[in-house]
Amino acid sequence: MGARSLPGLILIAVAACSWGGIGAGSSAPADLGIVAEVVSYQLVAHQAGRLLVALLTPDNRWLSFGEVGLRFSYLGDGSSAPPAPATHPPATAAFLAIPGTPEGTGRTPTLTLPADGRGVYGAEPITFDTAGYWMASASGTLGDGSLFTAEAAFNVLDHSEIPAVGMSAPRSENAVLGDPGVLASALDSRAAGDQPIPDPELHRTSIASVIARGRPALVVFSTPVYCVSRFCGPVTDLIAELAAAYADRAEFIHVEIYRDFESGIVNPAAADWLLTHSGELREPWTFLIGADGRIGGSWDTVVTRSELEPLLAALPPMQGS
Amino acid sequence: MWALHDPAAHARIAAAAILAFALAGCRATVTPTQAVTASGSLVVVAAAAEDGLCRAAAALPDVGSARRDFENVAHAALHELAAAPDLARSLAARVLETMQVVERDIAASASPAVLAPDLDALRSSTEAAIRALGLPASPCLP
Repeated sequence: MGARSLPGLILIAVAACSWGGIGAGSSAPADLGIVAEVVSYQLVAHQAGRLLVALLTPDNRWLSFGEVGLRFSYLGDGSSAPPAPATHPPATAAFLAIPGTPEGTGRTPTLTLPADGRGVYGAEPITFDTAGYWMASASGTLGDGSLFTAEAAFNVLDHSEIPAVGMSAPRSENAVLGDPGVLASALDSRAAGDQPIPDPELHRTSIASVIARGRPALVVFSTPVYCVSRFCGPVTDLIAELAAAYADRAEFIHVEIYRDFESGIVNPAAADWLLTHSGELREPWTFLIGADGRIGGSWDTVVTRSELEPLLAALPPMQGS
Repeated sequence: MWALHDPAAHARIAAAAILAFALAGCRATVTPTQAVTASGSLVVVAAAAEDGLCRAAAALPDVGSARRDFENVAHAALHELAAAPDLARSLAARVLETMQVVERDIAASASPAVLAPDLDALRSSTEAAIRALGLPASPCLP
């Protein structure tokens, strides 16, 4: 690194950050330099959802643990017309640790290196009455008394692009172990080469089958190797842990996103559920399907044991399990 | 984690900060994939990926230190590198696949004898990706 030009790097970084437009976030006061990014994949007007905000610093630290406050302002619908009045009351967002990382229970918000804490802040349930672009302003106090504020813009859709809670679940025939002509890596991207599928218990049945049999199911759509969000592996591991603990309450299914990553071929079941009209497909997503075949819960990006476990524990034992 | 008496340490710290600025700050307005298309920002990402992998390899046999170097310096940069739109999917796949092997090793608290060759494989796939993007790949300094 010493041989590289530091001023050049600074210019590069500044140039790289010079784009405009409404996307995900903006910078905070210069003292801490915390930057906010809304990482929720989908928020829909008039539907209760979960707003997830990641807070990071320029030196690659995450804000972790505790709670932060959120305030909201409406920016408009993207047209040139002045924005109609729209408001949302302040909310509190609690830290959601990426599964497998420290939860920091009882701790105040703290800046951590990735190895010591990683996660996002979630406000749930939260319902926005107006579709369009909103600004979230996150604020809080660190353990040393430092105050911080960071803002991030986000979009609220006027209709859901992903199967929503209460909807009938798509009856997808996802590939399972033993299906002829299906490579192991198409079931789990970690099974490339001669590697075994880490969680074979997640690949024994299809979504269509569990719905037909009237069984509840927890389904995770993820690609642990080729994940863009970096949350797929930990979330998939969490679902495998829950499968071991609650095998008598629900079926557990992992749908790998890619049939063939190098060719860009997506598994049909993943496309059934996650591919939007604009051609985007984001992962991971986790869905709880009820015994009635309807979607009982959905979680994008990060989902934690504390969010899922009470729901699984509340399910009655399955007959024949 | 950095030896501050090391003349290169300050530059590394600054570079890491710049990297994070590029990675995190740029997400303010663009997608991660777009972030690496900005003129020059990929140079910073590539340097951080290499630097983190060199540090992790040098930290062995201390697996804990290697894990921290990998997670704190290399991990995010490797994801950004693999997401570079001009990178062939086959090369991106190799980066992500070899990275997953290292992550598996770390999660399993693998021995240095297991982790070292897997870090080497990841560094090789990373270098291949960097060179394919027309960027200079640097060897690990002793």
